[in-house]
Amino acid sequence: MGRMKRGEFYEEDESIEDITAAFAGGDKFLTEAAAEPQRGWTASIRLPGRASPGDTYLAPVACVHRS
Amino acid sequence: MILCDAAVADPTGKVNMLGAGWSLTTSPTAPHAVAILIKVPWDRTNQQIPLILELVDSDGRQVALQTSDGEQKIGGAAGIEVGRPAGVVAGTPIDASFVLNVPSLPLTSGRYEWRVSLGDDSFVASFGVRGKP
Repeated sequence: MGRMKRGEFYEEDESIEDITAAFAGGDKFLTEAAAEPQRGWTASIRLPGRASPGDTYLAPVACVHRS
Repeated sequence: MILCDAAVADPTGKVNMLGAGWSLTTSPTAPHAVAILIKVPWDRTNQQIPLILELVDSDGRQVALQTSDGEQKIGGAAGIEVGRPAGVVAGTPIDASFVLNVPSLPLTSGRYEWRVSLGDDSFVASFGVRGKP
């Protein structure tokens, strides 16, 4: 966030909604590097009912803090 | 195309890999990744290149597994498109990459291939699944 400056990433009269939508849609970037066209893609196979890479699950036990 | 234990494609076209280069595994397979390193020819930049990745058995049939949502064929598809970075000499191939993360698969012992069709070209990475001793 250190690169974000007033006037550099949004106009004085630009609404918050327009700014956030522009970031979400990829029209605005926080860094110059992020503005480079993407050349690498990662995808995952999802098999319903099976664990897939990146899936996380709650531990089957409850952790209780005791002071 | 490289089989590895885990991989993530970097947005710049590089691939971060762990445990790369295996060709023999057991069943059920460990979660793994298929990494594809691509050099896009200059004349194929700025256009969508279809990429189809399939897991096929020794008979060339695409592997299908039963899931809670029914039978699912193992593979993936994407369209990749790279531009011409500013300042690059005309004619330079452009780095691109695609990684498919694959969950644990209950494969029977035998030979398998990850087969990728990339535009008009196709490439394979084969591996074996050991039976129980």
